Amino acid sequence: MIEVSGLKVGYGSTVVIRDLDFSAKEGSVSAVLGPNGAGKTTLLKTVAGQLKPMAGRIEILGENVTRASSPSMVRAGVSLVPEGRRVFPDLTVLENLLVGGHRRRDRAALRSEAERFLDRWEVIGRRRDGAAGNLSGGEQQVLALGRALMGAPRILLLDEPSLGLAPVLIDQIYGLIADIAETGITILLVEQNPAQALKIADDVSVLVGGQIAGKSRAKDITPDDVVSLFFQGDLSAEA
Amino acid sequence: MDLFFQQLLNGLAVGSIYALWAVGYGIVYQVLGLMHFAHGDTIVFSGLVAYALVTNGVPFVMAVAVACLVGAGVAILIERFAYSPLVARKQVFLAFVAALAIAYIFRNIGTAVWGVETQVFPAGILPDPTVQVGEISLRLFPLISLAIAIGIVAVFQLYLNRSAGGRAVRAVAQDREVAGLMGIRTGMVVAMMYALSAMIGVIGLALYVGNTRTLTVGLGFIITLKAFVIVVIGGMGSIRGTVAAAMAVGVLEAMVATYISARVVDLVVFMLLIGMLLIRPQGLAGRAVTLRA
Repeated sequence: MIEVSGLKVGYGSTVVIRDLDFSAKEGSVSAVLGPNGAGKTTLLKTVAGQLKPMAGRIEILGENVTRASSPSMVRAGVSLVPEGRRVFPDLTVLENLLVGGHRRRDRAALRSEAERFLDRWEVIGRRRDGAAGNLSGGEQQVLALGRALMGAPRILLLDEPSLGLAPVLIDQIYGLIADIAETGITILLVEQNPAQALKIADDVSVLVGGQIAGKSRAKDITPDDVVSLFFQGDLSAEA
Repeated sequence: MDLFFQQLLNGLAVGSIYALWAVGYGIVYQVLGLMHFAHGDTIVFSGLVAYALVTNGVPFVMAVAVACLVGAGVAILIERFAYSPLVARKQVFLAFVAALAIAYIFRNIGTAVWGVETQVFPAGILPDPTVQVGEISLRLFPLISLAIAIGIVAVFQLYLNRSAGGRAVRAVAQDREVAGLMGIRTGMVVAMMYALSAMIGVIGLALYVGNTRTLTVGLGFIITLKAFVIVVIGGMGSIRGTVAAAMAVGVLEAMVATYISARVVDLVVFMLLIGMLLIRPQGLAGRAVTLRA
């Protein structure tokens, strides 16, 4: 589904990710865990077409998308939920969802999906005509996930969905992500929080210093194992 | 009292033209975060092209249509080859300097080709009906101008509020990077807004010319300045605020010119600007720097 090989990405002369190989199976939840500055967000932005790699190759469903733009990636079925939610604050809640499906031609279906999402998530649904910027952090995260879903993605990229949220909200957000995974959408999740990610992930990769420090099936690894890899940065480790 | 109503109508008509110049100016600020200080000079350059066509026998309306296309093309070229590369490198100040340079380039081209003297369009380029009210004869052109300007702004506002394209424009204005993640071709949206801004501005100029039949190269700077002042008074990002401020400035100018002196019109307007900056820096309806209808 997602095949990344020999990836090298950076900003200017600073290399953030080097020689990275990574893959995610169709319909799976793959978690990339790592400490601050490990290159997690850079990896997601590159897969989403926001950053162009210095070297390497990215394939989605066998198609080379290494140098594709963000809009092209959306058309290819890839949606990214960015770090910090970044909803459009002065658009209404409903408008945020509709913008998420901007590339879709089935406008009536899009609107009814948006309405269904708002009915399902009453906490934001009752404020559908209010400015999204007035929602709480957790509500904005629900909206950001809904907005990404409106693009009818086959692959969902999630950048630290638990960041800055209260524990009770994190449980709700991860419940929603688990629901999304049930629908068969492939999920690539990056997180600093291994405990939550391991609950829903099928496969885990640990990213340290821009390189994969270890890979494992999620059920075979504990949060403590992941955190120890954060600090060891042992590239030979296969947890 | 008759004079008051005639001046009120004239003021609203002038205000509606200001609104067309300022709405476009405000939009391009929103989508690229840049003061488009070449706005007025590119509009006047397009107007001078229309003047050349009209004086060679092309009907006024057709000449305005061509001027709209010229204005749109010039605006897209400026955005694509001057502003966007600099803004992408986060050199907004240099982009601002580039805007000033481009304004002077177009002003100089206009001066070189048409000179600094006032260009007078032939009489009868647009119908100028009058209506008799009591003993005075009222020109209807200001009313027609007002209706056209309000119609254009209303359609534009409907587009922004009610269409998928309008939502995309507002999304780009609020967060260009994330708008790209929604599949919106942000570069195309920005270019389209520059083109639309110029076209609306040229229509405003056509209404101005339809009323006065005159055009000078120096008008470009005045258009930019008026648009800037009105956008600040109305509130960055608010179309309604911009239109309200444009009407208020138009009426204020007409009343000051009639009842005080035409020599102090700008003094009063700029005092209003300073007062607004001190009392309500966000403008009449502004809140932040995001596009709202």
